[in-house]
Amino acid sequence: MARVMVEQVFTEPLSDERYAAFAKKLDPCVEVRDIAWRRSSLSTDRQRMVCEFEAPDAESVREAFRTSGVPFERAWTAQVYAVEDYPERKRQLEALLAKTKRS
Amino acid sequence: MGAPSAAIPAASRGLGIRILGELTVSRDGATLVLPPSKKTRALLGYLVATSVPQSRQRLCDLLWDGPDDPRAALRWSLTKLRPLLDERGVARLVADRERVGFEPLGAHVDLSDAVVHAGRDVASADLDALRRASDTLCGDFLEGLDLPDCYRFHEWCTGQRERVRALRLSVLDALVDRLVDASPEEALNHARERLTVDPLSDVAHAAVVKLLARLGRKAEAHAQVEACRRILERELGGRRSPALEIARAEIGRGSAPPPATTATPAPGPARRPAVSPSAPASLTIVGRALERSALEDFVSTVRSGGNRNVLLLSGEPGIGKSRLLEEVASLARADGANVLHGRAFEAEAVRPFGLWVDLLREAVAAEVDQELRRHLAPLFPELGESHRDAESRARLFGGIDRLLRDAAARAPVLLVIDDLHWLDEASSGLLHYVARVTPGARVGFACAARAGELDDNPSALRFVRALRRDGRLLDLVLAPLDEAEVGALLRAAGTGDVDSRSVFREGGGNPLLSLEMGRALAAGEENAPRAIEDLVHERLARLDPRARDLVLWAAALGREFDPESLAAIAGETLAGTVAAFGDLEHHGLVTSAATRYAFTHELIRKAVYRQLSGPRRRLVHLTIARALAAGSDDVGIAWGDVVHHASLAEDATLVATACVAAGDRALRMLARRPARDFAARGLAQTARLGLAGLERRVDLLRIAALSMAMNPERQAALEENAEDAVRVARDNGRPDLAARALFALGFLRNERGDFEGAHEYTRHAPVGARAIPPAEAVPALANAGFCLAIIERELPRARALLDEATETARVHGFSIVDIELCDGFLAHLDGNVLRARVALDRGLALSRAQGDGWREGMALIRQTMMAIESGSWAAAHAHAAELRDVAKRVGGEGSEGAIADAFDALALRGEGAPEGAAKVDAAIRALELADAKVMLAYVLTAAAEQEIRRGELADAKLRAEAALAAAEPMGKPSAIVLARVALGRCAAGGGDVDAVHAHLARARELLEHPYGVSKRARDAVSELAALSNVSSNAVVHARSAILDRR
Repeated sequence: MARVMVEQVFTEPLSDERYAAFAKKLDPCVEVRDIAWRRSSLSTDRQRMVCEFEAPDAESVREAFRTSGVPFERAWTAQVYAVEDYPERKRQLEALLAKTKRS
Repeated sequence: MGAPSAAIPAASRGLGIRILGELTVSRDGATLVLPPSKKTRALLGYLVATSVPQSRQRLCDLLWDGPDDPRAALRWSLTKLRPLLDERGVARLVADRERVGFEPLGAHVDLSDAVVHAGRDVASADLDALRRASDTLCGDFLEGLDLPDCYRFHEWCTGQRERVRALRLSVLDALVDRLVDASPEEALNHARERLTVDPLSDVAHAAVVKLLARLGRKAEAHAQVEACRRILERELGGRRSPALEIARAEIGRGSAPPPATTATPAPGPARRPAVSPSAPASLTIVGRALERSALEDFVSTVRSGGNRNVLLLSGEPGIGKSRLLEEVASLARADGANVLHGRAFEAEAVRPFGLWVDLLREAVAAEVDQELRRHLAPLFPELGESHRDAESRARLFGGIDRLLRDAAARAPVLLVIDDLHWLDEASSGLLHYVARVTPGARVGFACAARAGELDDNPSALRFVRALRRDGRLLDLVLAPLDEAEVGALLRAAGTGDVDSRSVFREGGGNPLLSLEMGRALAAGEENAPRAIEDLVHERLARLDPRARDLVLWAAALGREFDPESLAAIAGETLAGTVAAFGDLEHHGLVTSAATRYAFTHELIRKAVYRQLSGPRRRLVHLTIARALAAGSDDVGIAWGDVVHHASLAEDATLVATACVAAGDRALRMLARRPARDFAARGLAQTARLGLAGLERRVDLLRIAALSMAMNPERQAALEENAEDAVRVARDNGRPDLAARALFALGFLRNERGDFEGAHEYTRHAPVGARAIPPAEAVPALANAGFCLAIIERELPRARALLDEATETARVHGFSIVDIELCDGFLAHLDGNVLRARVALDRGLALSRAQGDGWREGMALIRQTMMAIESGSWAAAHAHAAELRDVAKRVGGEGSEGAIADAFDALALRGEGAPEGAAKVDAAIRALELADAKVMLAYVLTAAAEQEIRRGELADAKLRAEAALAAAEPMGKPSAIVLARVALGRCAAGGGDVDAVHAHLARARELLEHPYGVSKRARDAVSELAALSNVSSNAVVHARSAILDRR
C-alpha cells in the first residue's frame, strides 16, 4: 500500500455541504478500489485541501476522484516522515504542546 | 420604562402577546420592539402558539433548514427573545440542551384568551364571552409572518390559520343564531363578518339575505342574492344554491322596506384633491453628503479596477437604500459604466439563480460565442442545448466570469443588487464566486440589504462576511435623517407647508415614513396616522374603485409587474389597467420604468397587500397561480412563482404540480438544493392528497433522489416514502407508477453506495412499465457499471447494470457516454474487438461533445491498447497523439501524458524503430513516478512480449517480473495472469519446464477468480498450457518457434 496525497483547490470556499457531497460521491469509488482515507487538512479560507489516503497506487486515487467527478489538482505517492519516528523531536513537540496548553 | 401600574388597566398589566394579526408583545400596555429577524419573530410565534416544549432539532428543521449551523442560529434567536419574554424572577423561555418551550406564567396570549372565551362548546358559551372571542379572533394568525423558503413553518402556519378561521366561523355562527331574534341588527353585523371570512359560502350569503329580509331591507336583500349568484358563477362555475333560493323566497315575507337612503352603504371618506407628489424614486437626494461622496469614490474604484469593489448599503426599511442605489447607478452611468440591475424578491427565494437571470438577460442577448452559449445555457435555455455533467456548474460560473470580464474590457460594469437579504442560495453562491474572482477587472457590485433580515439568510450573510474579512467591502450603514433634512425632503416632495417638526418627531427621520406622513398632512388629514399601514389605507380610500381593486391584485402579484399580465389576471382591459395605474402613479404608490410598474417601496406593497382579507387573498393568489401555470410553454412559466401563489392559495394539488415542474427546472439549472427543497415542499402537499397525488408524489421522489443533497435522515425518510409509494401504487393497480417509484428508490440506494440494493430495485422495475424514467437516473446506473468495468471487478454485475441502463436508454432515446464506455471496456475484456471499437468510437464522440476530457482519455487509452494488441502501430501512434492532446485539457494533473508516451514508445518498438527501446525505458520511469501501477504492469508486460518475440529473454524476464510486482497489489487478475504468462514464456524460451508449470499453475488458479478474467488472459493461459504440454525437447523446439515469429 502507498500513502497518496491529493491536493485540491476550490474557487469558492468549500462549504460543509459540498464537502459532504464530495465524500458521498467519492466513498463508493474509493471503497471498491481498496483505498482508505486517513485524514484531510483544509486551509482556513476553505479554498485548499490536502487529503491523505492509503491506496494500492496513486492512479487508483485519481481514478476514484475522476469517476466520481470530484475535482483535484494532483495526486502523488509520498514517503512519510512522522514525528513518531524521531523520539527527540517527539519530546520537543510534546513539551511545546504542554506549554501551549498551560498558557 | 413601563407606566406606573396603577394607571394601567388590569387587562393590560404584565406581558401581553398578540398572535392574531401582526405579532406584537407588550409589557404593561407599552409595545416592545421585536427583533428585526423574521425567523426570530416566527420562532416566537411558534413557541407561544404551541406552548409546549419543542425539541431543538424540530425548531431547526422548521426555520433553519440548511447546511450552516442551525443550532447556532436557534441559540442566537433565543438570546434575542429572552429579554422580551422573561422578567425579573420569571423565566418564560425555558430551554435545556434538547428542548425549548414557552410557559405563559401570567402572560396574556390573545389566542388563548379567545379559546377560553369561546369555551369547549361554542354553542353553549356565554353571549358576552362569544362577543369577546369574536373581537379577538378578527386578525389573521401571525399576519405577515410568511416565510416562503421555510415550507415546514409555512405548512404549520397555514394549518393554524385554518384552525383560527374555523373557530371564528363557529363563533360567528353561534352569535348569528343567538341574536337573530333578540337583536337582528347585531346578528346582521356578525353575518356580514362571517361572509368576509368565507365569501364562497352560499349559506353565509343566505343568512345575510334572511336577516336583511327580516329587517325589511328588501332592496339590499335582492342585491345580496345577485352578488352571491355572481360569485358562485365566477368562482364555482354557476353552482345552484338551495339555501339561497330559500332565503330569496323569504324576502317577500319580510316587513316593509325602510326608506331607500338607509339601504345605501355609508359613503367612504370624501375624495380630496390629491396632492401631486413625485414618486420617491425621482426625488433629489436630501442630506447623505458623506454617503454620496463615498459613492463617488466607489465608482472611481470600480473604474480603476480597484480591490474594494463591493458596496453594501444597509439600514432599516424605508431609510433610503434603494434611492442611494439609484444614485450610485447614475453616477456609474455618467462615468461611462455599463449598469446591470437586479433585485431579489422575498417570494422568489425559491427561484434558483433568479437574480442572475434578471441581471444578465440583456448582456446575454448580445452576441456571445458558441462556447460561452453552451456554458450559460443552464440559466438561459434560449441559448440552446446545455450539457450536464459534474463540471457543468463550474463551467457556468466560469462562463459568467468570462461574460463580465469581456464586457468590462470595453467599459466598467456595475451590478446593482437590491434587497440582498432575500437572495436565493444559488444566486448567492454565484455572486460570491464572481465577486472573488473579479478584483482588478473593472467589475463592481452595489448591494442594498436590511441589516436585521440579512441575518436570516445564511448564504447572503456568508458572502458579506467573507468580503468584509477580505477588505473588499465598502459598508455604508444609513442613519435616519435629521429634522432639517426631513424638512428639505418634504419640500422637495412638494407637500406644501406641512409641519415638518411633527413629521420628524413621529416619523423618527425615516424618509419613507416622513414622506407618507407629509403627503397625508398635505391631503388634509389633520391627525395623520403614524404607521405606514394606516397611511396607505387612507391613500387607498381616496382612489378610484377600479384603481383600488387593481392595486390589490398587483400587491399580491409582487413588487414588480407588467400591466399586460396584471390586466389578464384581474380580468381588466389593458387600456383600463394603464389608465388606473396613471392614478396610482399620481398617488405615489407605484412607479413605471420601461414596460413595467413597481411599487415605490416594498413596505407600501405589503401595506396594500394587508388590505386584502384572508379569503380574498386566497382567491387572488389562486387566480394568479392558475393564470401563471396556464402559460403557453414550459420555458415561459415561472414555476417557482406558481408554487408561491398556490401555497398562499392553499391549493395542495397546484402546489405539488408546480413543485414537480419547478424541481425539474432547478435540476436542469444545476441547482440541486432548490430542487431538493421543491421536492420536499411538494411531498408535504402530496401527503394530504392521498391517491389523487400519487403520480406527483412519484415525480417528486424522483426529483428528491436526483437532487443528491440530502442528509442521512432525509435519505432514510425518502426511501421509506418511496417504498410506501410502491406499495400504494401496486395496491391500486398502477404498475407504471410502482415502476417509477422503484426507479427512484433504486437511485436513492445507488447514491448511498448500496449497489446491490440499487440493482435489486431497478431490476424489479419492469422496463416496459417505466412510463417516464428520468434522464438523470440512467447515467447513474451506467456509471456504476462503468466503474466496475474500469477496475475489472464483479464483471457479471457490471454487465447487468449495463443491460439495465442500455435498455432504458434505448426505450427513451438517451445517449449516455458511460453506457458506451462501459460497453466498450466490457467488449474489450470479452475479446469482442469489433463491438468494442464501435462502442468506444461512440463514447469518444459523446465525451468530446460534452467536453469531458477524462472520459475522452479513457476511450482513447482503450483504443490505443487495442491497436497495440493487434499490432496496428500507425493507429496506436494516432490515438496516442490524441491522448497527449487530451492530457493537456483534462482537469487536474493526471497520468494521461505518461501513458500516451508509453503507448507511442511501444508502437515505435513494435515497428522496430531504433529509438524505441530507450523511449520505452523512459516511459516506464514516468509511469513509476506517476505511480500508475495497472498501466505500468500493462506496458511492462507488452514490452516483455515484444522482447520475447525478439529473443531478448533476459530483458523480457526482468520486465515481466516488474509487471507482476506492479499488478499483484492492484488485485486485477487479468494483469497478473498476463504477467505470469510472460514469465512462463520466458521460462519456456530458456527451457525451464518446472518454472513454466509453476507459472501456468498460478495463472490457472486466477482464471477462477470471482472478479472475472479477460479473454486475452484466458487465451494467453491456453497458449502457455500448449507450450507446457510438450516435452523438454519440444520446449526447445518451441523456443525456436517463438524466435521464428520475430
